[in-house]
Amino acid sequence: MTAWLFRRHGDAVARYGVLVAILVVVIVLGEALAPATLAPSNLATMTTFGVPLGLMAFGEALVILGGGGAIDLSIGGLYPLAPVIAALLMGHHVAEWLAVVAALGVGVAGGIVNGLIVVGLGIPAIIVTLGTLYGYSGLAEVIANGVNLTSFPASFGEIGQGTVGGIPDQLLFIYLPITVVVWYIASRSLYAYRIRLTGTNPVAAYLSGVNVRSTRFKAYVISGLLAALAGLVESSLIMTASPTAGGVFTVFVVVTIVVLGGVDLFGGEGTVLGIVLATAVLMVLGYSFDLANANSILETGLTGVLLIVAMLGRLGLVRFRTRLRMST
Amino acid sequence: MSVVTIVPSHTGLAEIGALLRRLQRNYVATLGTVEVIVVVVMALTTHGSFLRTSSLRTSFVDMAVNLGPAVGLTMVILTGGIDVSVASVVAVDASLVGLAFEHGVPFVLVLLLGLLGGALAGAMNALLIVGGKIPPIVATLATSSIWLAVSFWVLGGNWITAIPSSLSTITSISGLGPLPWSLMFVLAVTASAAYFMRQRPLGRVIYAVGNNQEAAKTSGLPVGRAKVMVYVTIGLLTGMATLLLVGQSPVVSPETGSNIFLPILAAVVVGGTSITGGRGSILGSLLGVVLVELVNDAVILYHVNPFWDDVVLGVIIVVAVVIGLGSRYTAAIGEGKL
Repeated sequence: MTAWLFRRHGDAVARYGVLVAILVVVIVLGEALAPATLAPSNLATMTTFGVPLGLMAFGEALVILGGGGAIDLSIGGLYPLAPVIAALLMGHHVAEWLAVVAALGVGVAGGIVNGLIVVGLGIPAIIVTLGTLYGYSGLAEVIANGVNLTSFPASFGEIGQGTVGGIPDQLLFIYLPITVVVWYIASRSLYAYRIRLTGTNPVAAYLSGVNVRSTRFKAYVISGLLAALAGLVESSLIMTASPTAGGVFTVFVVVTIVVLGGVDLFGGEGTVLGIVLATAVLMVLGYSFDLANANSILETGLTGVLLIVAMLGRLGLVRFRTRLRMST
Repeated sequence: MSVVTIVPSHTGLAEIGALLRRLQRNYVATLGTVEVIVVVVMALTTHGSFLRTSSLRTSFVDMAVNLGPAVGLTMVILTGGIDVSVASVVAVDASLVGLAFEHGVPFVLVLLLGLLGGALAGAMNALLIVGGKIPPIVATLATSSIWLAVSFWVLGGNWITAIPSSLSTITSISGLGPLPWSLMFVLAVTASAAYFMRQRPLGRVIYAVGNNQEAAKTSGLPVGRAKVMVYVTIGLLTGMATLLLVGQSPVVSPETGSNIFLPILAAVVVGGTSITGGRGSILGSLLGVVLVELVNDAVILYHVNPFWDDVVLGVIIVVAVVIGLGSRYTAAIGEGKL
């Protein structure tokens, strides 16, 4: 059976086998912890746990796909900065749509700064985005003066709280369309070809006429935009912009999703389906722990265990597959 | 350090470029010089409050806490690895130390337990990275989550306040004038680490692994041993920092150590250690720790809104790296090392 699976669908098994197994385990565990986890009404609510993380994971994955040790830590700073700016503007009676556009613009600007320094000056991304993580979250604190801002008009809550036929707006009108767009960008477009080649072998990419710098630069801009959007969605759900939201811990969770989802940290390899599945794992875990009133920190610990299991499991599958190939 | 002379014959980018290149060649010396100037300026403009014994001692104790893990992280990064689990190891180790005190374990035994706890956490990272072949950032991310949960589970959300005052006396109060014994001890550890890295064979292997792991392995160097050593060392030094931290504020809470990692990484990076491995020094990281502390002090002493602290540190990280290492990194771009 296993051998047949491998021969017919080797790639898919090696890529998603462990992830699907983990998802099943997590769902069973969640249902055992909080028996109502899989009730339809809860399923809808559950997705609001995953949307902000899922959006940031897409951006992070694109950056990492570009290779060269690329990583974007600054999303943990843009995530609080964007809603703080939006709250500030709305508090000054700026039109809601304009405030949202401005907040998204801040995300884009943050991504541009990252991209310019990383790609333009050739400085390792982990250092630059560490600096800008400090910078952006510090700015959020300075602008909000360290307190939570709640100056949102009631209508702003529509994005995060509204539902259509029981399905949250943020899932229907934000996450799903963006998943399709990201899937196109990362798997089907010319850009997908460029960034995967850049991530796999930047020299070969350069020699084949790919503008390596501009390709990597764009990934940072998209990541900044998605981090800002994630921050807006979350603050629309809770109607609060907290300057201390995000931070390095959120980045850890996002990177965990990306790694769990099978994105190669050295670039070039990874799929949108993998990230969606990994987001689902963390979402189910988070929500069922929340329902069961278990401490969310235990969920964090379980995530760590899953990460190790996933890495060792994937390595094991790859080895098993190689041995299978050798024997046939 | 060569004498830098600027002859303003005509202003142009070429001169600035030449000056930058000289600064880059002597990065650590430049950083040290800048720090001396900053210290002098701060001493002259704060009406003596910077040099007051109590405020100096507070800064020195802060530095003693950060310096150990910074030395360990330098060694880890020199091999081309990373350890993001420092804060969580502090959390779990602090719970261990706090519980031991609460149950009346003898003082010296608790100190040993604290060091051992850190070293064991480091050994677990080493096992996953060297044995399990999991990339360092993933392995330490995973153990980071696990330790955080364990410490929370152990503490159950409570605070442990049964820390004997003798620990605080040793770590934060007694010393020579404003200089606490703890800092002198950590400085001695730092000096031994610097000697080890420069003079001992295994220290050179650590550099070799970071420069080119495959070449090091092919040359028959003990790559695995070097890697195990750096992760156990950072664990041990984090254990040491935990004891100092618990002595500094004698209470163990789920928040203990939660803010320790970023300043330490910033210190190592600003100190000139290349994140891709193979280049950098313990001395640079010592200066990095000093710089991070100077920023914290300046924000307090000049009554700046403390929220600017992070912004200033962020800007310093980027500027220091752009000035100091910009050109060196252009060569390493595209090597795909993390």
